[in-house]
Amino acid sequence: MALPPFLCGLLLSLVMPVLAVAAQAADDNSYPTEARADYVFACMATNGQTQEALRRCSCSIDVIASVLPYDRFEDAETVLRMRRSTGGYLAETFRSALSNGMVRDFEEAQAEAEIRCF
Amino acid sequence: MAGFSMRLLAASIVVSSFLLLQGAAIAQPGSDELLKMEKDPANVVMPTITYDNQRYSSLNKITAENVGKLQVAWTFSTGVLRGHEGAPLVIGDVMYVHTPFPNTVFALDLNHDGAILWKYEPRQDPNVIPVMCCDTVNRGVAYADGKIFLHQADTTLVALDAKTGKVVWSIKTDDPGKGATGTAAPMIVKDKVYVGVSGGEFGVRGWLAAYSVKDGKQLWRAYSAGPDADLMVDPEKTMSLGKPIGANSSLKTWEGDQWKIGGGDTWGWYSYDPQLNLIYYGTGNPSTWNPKQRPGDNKWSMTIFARDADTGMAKWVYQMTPHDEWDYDGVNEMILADQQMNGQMRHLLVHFDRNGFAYTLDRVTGELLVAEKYDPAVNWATKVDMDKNSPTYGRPQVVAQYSTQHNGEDTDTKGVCPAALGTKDEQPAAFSPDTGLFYVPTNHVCMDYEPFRVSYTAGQPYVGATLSMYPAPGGNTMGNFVAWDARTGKIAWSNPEQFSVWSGALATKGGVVFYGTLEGYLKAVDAKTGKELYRFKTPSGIIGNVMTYEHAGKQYVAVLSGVGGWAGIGLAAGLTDAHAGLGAVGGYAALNNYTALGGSLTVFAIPGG
Repeated sequence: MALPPFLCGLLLSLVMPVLAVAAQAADDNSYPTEARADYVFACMATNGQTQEALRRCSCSIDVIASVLPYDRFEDAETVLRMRRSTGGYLAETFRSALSNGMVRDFEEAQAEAEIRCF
Repeated sequence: MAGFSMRLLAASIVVSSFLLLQGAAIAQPGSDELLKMEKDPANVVMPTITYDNQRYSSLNKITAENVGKLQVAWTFSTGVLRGHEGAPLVIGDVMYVHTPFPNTVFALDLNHDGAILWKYEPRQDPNVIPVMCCDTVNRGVAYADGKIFLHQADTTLVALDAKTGKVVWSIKTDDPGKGATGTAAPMIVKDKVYVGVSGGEFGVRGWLAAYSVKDGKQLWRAYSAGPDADLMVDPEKTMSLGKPIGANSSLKTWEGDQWKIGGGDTWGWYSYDPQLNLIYYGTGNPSTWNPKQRPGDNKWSMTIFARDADTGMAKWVYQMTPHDEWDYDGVNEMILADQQMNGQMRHLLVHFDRNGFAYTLDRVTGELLVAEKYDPAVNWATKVDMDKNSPTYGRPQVVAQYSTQHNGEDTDTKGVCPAALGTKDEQPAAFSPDTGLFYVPTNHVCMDYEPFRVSYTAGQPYVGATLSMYPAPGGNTMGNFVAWDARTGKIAWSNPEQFSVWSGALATKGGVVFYGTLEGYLKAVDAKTGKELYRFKTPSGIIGNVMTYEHAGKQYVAVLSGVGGWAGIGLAAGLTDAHAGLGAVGGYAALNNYTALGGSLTVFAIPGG
């Protein structure tokens, strides 16, 4: 699974420049630097503490920021956090269709980022 | 015959409590000390801030005008993941911070930006974790007589030396093997520590007990259900809605001896009125969640209790949700406030119940004054019958469509509002005497509820219902922060929130009300209008209660955040397949290091202010 996204990236590298321009245009920079850095830290912890991972992970959050407004990123972040290890009633509310939708929006943005950056 | 022996028992309790009363009059170590300390707004000497549970601070250096300048002064990581409820205490130069299981307690030096003075970390059997229904939370520690009191998850009540953290005494209050756990913060009045128990999802029989501050000796224990002597009621003198409750008031409302595994647990907050010498608290859901299995009103589950602080005898009771069919525990805080109603000063008790009704009662007599929905989405009952001459006086008028009793077992009752988590849960509301308004963190969530038959096995879940929850119809938000007028039963203003507001509120004399959100924001709003004045994103979701204190002439605001780690894990997981082997395992280990800081306390102040 680590390889296919890279392959995809290679295959799509021809169309990348066009998408990157679109991404920059749509990114209103509503994401605080802290949120971007936080994402990159986690991404690098998962994908390696390398220069290459830094570049790809930075690219990934920039793409996400270009397609998903920050408040919706926060929604997904909250849902995923609550699902991870919260118990009881509160966790239940994060398994609703509404919550699924929030996560789906984020995952679509992230899939887009995988294609473009990895 | 049984009745006769019970009478005798009751009589002996009255005699012994009379003796206790005499004893109390002589030695009251915590008494004056705490009454004096709670009036000093620099300190936060109890988990409810003050005995009246108003969660109001008369500190006013942080105001509606300058709160926008708030900045982080210092932070502290607890090292414990999962849900951080409650709030720290501040006594003089020391802050006491508690954590979820394993229930570590830290004493932090406020003269040195929170350096650790001592740390208490109990060894508890991790088998207690699976019997905690709703995450491994703990709602805080209490202080009196130079000691810090903690009710641990495994129902150990421990007194620590506030200076050293050394155990002064330690006792066991119940049996986690049966599913009994400790999550609530103790309260101390005079020479007694009051403690309750959690475990309604395991059929644990609820109780409130008083232990000696000095040595942990149990002084009395009052059950939520069972014979009159166990309840610590006087059939002639304990009142409910203006009438004596009569003999066997609880036993009559259960089938057989179901009350023995009938829940009514006491895991919420406790309040105290020193003038009336009464303590107030609520009882939780009757077990099981399948209402068909336990016919009757199931008294005194879902009940507001007013008890004599010395003897424990109940003065009055009011059952809000007779024969619960939705898991609407009645444990939420009882806020004591004196307000003018119809030109008359009333001693009020205001309670925002899980069932979606906000109750205003006369706390002297238990008279019901107002019962109105504090979320318009509430639909399981049309109203509470306020007609004193009606046979259903004080009872909710249940709507058959939303009655899981009516629709029966193995039928999914759909669209019930609120959901089982309640329009509000334990997260406490605040009251400002300046505005006369209550500030209520709420859930705006509904549910489908399907009861099924379940058999009881000690220590095993005794739930008997399947639930699914979703936002209330007509919107995509799951929470509101509501300002409520308890005199009229009306919403003054309401701020929608994307998610349930699961953090306790704080009102201040500075005209600012604080609360936290699951996204992790500490928010400050104008007490009069609800207008947002400030927000700051803490490292995790907030389910703790906001508190404020003063140290070295400066006002601070503090809140615990932490709901179970850090979202980055979930966000990053999509990038690498966890099962792919290469790198993934090491990657997750690295992530764990990054998140090992756990829950965190964020302390705010205005620079230079």
